[in-house]
Amino acid sequence: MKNKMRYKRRTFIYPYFFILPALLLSSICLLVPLIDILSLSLQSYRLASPIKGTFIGLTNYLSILTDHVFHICFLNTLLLGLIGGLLTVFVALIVAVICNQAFRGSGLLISLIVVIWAIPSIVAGRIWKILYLPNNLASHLLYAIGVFPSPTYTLLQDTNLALLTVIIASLWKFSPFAALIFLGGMRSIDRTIYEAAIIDGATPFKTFRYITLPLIARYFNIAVLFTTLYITGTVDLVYAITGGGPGYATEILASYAYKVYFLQWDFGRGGAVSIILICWALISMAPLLYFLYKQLFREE
Amino acid sequence: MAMSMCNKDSLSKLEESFFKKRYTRRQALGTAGKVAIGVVVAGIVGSVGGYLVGSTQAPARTIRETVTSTATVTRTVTVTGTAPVTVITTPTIVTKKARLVQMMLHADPNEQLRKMARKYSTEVRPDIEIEQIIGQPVGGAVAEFYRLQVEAARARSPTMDILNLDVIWGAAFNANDWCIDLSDRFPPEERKKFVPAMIESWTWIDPKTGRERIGAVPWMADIGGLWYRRDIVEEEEGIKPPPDGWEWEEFFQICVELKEKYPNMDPFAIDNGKSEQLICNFQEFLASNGGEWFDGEWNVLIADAPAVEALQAMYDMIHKYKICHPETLTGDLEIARKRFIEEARAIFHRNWCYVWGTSLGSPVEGKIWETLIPHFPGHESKSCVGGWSWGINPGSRYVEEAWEYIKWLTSYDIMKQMMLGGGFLQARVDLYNDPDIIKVIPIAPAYYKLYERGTVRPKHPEYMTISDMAQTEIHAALSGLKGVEQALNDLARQIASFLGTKVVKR
Repeated sequence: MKNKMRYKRRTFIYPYFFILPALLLSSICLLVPLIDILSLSLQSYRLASPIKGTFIGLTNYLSILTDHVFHICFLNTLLLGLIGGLLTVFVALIVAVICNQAFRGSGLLISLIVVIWAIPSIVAGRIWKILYLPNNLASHLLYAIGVFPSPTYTLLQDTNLALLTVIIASLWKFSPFAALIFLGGMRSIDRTIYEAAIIDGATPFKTFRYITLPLIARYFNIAVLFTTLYITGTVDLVYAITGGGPGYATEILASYAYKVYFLQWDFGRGGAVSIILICWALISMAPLLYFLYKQLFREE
Repeated sequence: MAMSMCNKDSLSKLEESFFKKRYTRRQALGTAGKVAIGVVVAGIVGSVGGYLVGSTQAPARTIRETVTSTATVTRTVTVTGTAPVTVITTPTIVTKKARLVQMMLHADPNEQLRKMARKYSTEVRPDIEIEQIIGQPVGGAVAEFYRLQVEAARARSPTMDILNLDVIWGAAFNANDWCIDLSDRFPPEERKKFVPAMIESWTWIDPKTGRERIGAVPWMADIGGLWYRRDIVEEEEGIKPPPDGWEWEEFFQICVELKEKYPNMDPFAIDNGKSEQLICNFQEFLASNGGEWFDGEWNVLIADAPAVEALQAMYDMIHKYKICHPETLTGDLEIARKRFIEEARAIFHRNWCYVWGTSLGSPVEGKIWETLIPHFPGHESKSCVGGWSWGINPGSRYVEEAWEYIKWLTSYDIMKQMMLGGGFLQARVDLYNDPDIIKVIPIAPAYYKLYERGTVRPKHPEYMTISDMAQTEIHAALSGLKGVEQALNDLARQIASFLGTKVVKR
């Protein structure tokens, strides 16, 4: 009986006891601000308004959910996350495969990739803005091959395609990170598997399809999760390239939240946007997190 | 010796017992867990304690800082008498009574403000020490600078004394009491000597009491104007800007004609990117058509006919007449300025007064001049006013000392010295007709004409939000995302809903 109790204690209680400090710390760091934001979101709290902190219930949520700019931001975030995220992972995979080959300068290539990743988003945004400006070498070149209708045309001004400018820039900025994740995965594969495949007469494509891809599959979730989170939260890149314009054509949820907080100084609505954003992040990332959990569980 | 041997032995025994003792995994993990819990508990206790201590009220404002530093001042005493005249020079230690913290912009051309601060604390008031803090980071992050000063003012924090305030913040700072009321110290007869539109933006009538207050003293003046290539427009084409400015249509036609004659140049470099600059441009179009944002009760007039006409003219300027530089909607002010100054590829340019300084040493040096912003028929030219003013933080412990310093810094002689020394343009209007100033800045009288026609952006405590809404809608209209009228209707609805007022069309 005593041994059974001890076993029970060791198996069920001890693990929780050991994770308690971490759990407490995370709770303090997460819950306290969260409660604060939640309470703010239920108040009318504007910095420049003499009356502050009036309880208004769900008015802020209603005001945001019925705001047409919010709808556009939501759609843009969805597009950016889906197109940008998938493209980024796809490009990253190609880059990782190239970097994984044994050739002269592969080390330099990896270093360059790391440099791109290390460039601050605001600087990357500025670089891309210069590239997108009309009447430069790129626009003349694209005009010459018939892509642009005139050298003064710019994607930045095109209300339908302006989001593409952010997608391309995010692809450039964030694919190195995903590529490094994939590269790490590829480097951890035992070389003898490849040697066996070559002896068996496998082509490079088949080696990739049947060895590399299945063995790095578990890194996909991590890469997709992080790149999508980075891309959809990149306020600095959006502001440096388009400023959210033309009009609000490239405004995303994160930039909307930034605007409400730090340009409009409306902490009540800002709180509501934050709560909506948290819910959105949890919902959109739930399938990925589930797969990640399943993967880890299966491994155990 | 024996004693030290004994100590050594006991130490080595302790060491041995500590390291050689075998611990079970449970013991080790249990100890680690206890330590971790201890750290967490200590952290919680510390944070709660720190929070409670931090939330107590700041010390009363009457408490003065203790003397922190001293300065040596040389005093000269002339002794006269029967004997020959004797001059005795004695160094005297002057105790610093107060330390003023002054907020600064990131730019201080020719270090004029720094030099003046040194002069004040050595020659004028050796008992005052001035610490200048660069509050605005490079890149013009005005929102951040606003936040920094609002936080200090709201918290009545004594960490800064002299606030450096943008002209668009007047209503917010006045209405929320984030700056000390200077009405008694800065009387109306003195205010008349400063740029009128700047004074207007800092004057606020309390809606409850009806009492007028002024929250800051303007120091750096800036105003929008129409810069142009004098060599092309006046000398080659023989076009003389009318004394009251062109009408917009007339100006657009001139640009169209010049575009044909100078195909490699952009007729008009004007930044209409999605930023505060766009609101400044719109304000000039709107005010030069007699339009307004609000009526006396904050009902929104921005969807009114004059506003629609004004925005339509902006749209036509870009899309119908096609006279603007290609980056007008997507670039920024710096791109437009470079097109006009460094690249010398624009004929007209809408910008602020600083353009003159940047033209020195450029390909267009001596070739540019400034005239009035065009206007609509039956209305007069209006220029959007910018610039910065000095206010006093309500949390300051040295209000009188701060005021004395501001008074000195904004006096005619000091402002003149700063302008002659290559500093920012100053806010006293008489300076622009001062012969000494004109010798150094020959364009100064042209600025004077602009100051006379200054217009202020909406004077509302929530201006930052209004501006943000307007930037989005106006840019959407100019980009063709929605029609001009629809954009203004949407903007009016948004503002009215935000302020809890209504949309009015006259």
